[in-house]
Amino acid sequence: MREVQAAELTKVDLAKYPFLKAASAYVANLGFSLRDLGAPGLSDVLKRAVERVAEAIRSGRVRAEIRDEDVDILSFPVALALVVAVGNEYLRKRYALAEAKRAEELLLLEPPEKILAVARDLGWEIRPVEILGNGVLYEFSLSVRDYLRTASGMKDKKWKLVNRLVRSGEVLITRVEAARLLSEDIQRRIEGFLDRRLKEVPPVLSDAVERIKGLLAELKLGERPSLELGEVNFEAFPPCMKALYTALSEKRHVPHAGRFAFTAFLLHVGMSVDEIVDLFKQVADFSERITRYQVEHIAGERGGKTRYSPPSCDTMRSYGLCVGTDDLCSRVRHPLTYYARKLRRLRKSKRGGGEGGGENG
Amino acid sequence: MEERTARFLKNLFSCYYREKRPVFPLDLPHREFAFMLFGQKAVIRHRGFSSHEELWSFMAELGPSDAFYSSAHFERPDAPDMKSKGWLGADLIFDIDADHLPTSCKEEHDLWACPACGREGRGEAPDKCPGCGSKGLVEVKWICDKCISAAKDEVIKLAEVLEAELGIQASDMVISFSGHRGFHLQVISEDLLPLGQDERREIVDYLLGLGLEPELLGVKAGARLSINDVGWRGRIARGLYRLLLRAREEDLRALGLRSKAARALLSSRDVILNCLEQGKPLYLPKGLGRAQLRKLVAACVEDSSVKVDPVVTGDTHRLVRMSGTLHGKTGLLKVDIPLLEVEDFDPFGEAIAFRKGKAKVKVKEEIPQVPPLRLWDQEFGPFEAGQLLELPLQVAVFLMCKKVAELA
Repeated sequence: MREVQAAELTKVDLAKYPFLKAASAYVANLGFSLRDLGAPGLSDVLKRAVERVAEAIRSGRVRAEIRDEDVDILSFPVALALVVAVGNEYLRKRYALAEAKRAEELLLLEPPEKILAVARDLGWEIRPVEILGNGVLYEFSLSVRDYLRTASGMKDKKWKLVNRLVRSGEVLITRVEAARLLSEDIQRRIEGFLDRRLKEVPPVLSDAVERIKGLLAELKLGERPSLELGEVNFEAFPPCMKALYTALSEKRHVPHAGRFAFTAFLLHVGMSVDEIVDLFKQVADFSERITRYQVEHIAGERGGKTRYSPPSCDTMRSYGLCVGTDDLCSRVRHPLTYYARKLRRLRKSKRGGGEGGGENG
Repeated sequence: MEERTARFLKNLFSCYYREKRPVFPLDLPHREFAFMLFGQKAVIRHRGFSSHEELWSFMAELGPSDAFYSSAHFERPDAPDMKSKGWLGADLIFDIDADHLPTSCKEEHDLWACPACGREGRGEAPDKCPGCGSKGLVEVKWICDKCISAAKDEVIKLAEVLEAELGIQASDMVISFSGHRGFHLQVISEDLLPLGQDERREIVDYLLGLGLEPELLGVKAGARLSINDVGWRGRIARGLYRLLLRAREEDLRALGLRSKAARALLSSRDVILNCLEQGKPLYLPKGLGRAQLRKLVAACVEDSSVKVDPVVTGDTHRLVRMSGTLHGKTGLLKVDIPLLEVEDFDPFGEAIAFRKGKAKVKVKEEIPQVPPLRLWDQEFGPFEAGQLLELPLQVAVFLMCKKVAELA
């Protein structure tokens, strides 16, 4: 069998993957600092940095083609400084994602040796394998810890640990999956780089910062409408919340996690603490004092002042509170999203004179 | 609990801690501690201690009914709310509670009674009295060798899966009897401290087999599925093998299979068993479609999943009972047990704190009956309502902690 070993990272690799530790070391070694940007030989660097951010804003993807290695390597930290200077939360996310997509595109073209080198630079515990299983060629074995760190946020069921081949603390992944997981990790790493504030914008960057702000305003990005839920509509409740409501009204035992989820859900769809306490009074003989205390706690009016969100679908499933799904459930990850969408559907069907509430809760 | 019973137990527990030290958690200065007291509902929380001695003398003075520490490590464990504590990471913990396992003995030893109309029953208490509709039912939940044995099987299975599949070394696991109805397994590993809630929940789903898609694991006709496979594939293969080996048509029907599918499956039983033994491409008969196969696999998953409490493991801010401390609902000790000794562990012989002395107690009038209790080789009870008893101290403490008797 061919022995796969991590390859050396060359200068081209650093240009492809400028977020690597090896790339920062290279930049530090050159003695480069933002103040040098005014120098005549470095105008290309600032230009490319602005392009990187502009490409992210316009198309959501930074160009993968490399024209000058040094320019590509140096323009990355400059682009980071620009995004931080603009100080727009939406841009931070969009830029990190655009760079991560660029990296994924490049990684998909790499041989396993390079993927290994990039993964190890990012601190992954990963080794090459060659295992054919399920008719799929697995080329890497990744530690469960690193796998979970990146894959636990992914929605598709194929990423769930329970659906993976797992042994001795390692998860088998294909080359394409490795590129996808690396991209996820890279995105977070770049978001981490961007999670800081500048005391003042270095004068040499100020023109560039203004241009990016202009671009953002032009495209009206970074302003998202807030979710309007309006009045509470029981018909639009997801099956899990309807089930909790039914259980409570039939005075059946509802575990703590269930009562918590239901209360947090009600608070988020716009019910007030008083309304919820009244509701609980009708459906179960709780002590009003204790109920009020708990509801206020969840609403963030007491204790740690955290306003709790209802659990996501994944959490509801883990807690055994998911009662099976209808067709809308399969398209959402959160009971609140279900509610908002169902509400919209109900309104639409009402306006259209339809029957409304066709789906079974 | 009557005031004098509470005072008696508090003094007794206090005395115990004056002589015996608890097992101190690792990284003590970064843990939050919490305590409960007999006869009081409030919990003492957000306590931090800088040394073993300080914590130990605090407990000896307080005589708490229960003592806990945070699974989380904090920068400032004594800060009054979670936000300002500064979370540094949390131990990975698992809880297996016999109360959540389907054991037949609950029908034998769990009792309830309605003080309003006098009706009684066995097993889990209903939400309201079927006789008069009153909701103030008295419940007696007991533990016996059967419950403990079911929980033991589960914790051993847990340790096996953690080691063989998730790569957690046996030497990094601490297993303990909780002092009541279950077992805890705690993983001591710097590597796993930073795991967030999503990651912990993925581990829970893995153990419980939640969200498992047979096709994604390559469990389908023509797949090379073998009883020697590692991970869920192997567990499903072995489950299928065990099931087919002894299944009758009605067993398969009970799993929700159509009779046509059940018959087709049984008529090719030997071929399928052979495929699973040899890891040859799996033969499945025509009558067994995708939906039928899913039902079959679901039964295998239910059979070989590890029944951990999802809430405990998913929570990165959990309070854990300290080892070497007394459990306020039983007066038994939480004790650490080496993995190899779990099988033979006898809580009613080894989790004993009070070996000498006697005490007089009176069974409460509203209790229908106190189920029997074994301690070492001796059986005590059953006892009737109102009975006045002189019992070995540990047994008397057990009855008072279980709130079925008061100090006489």
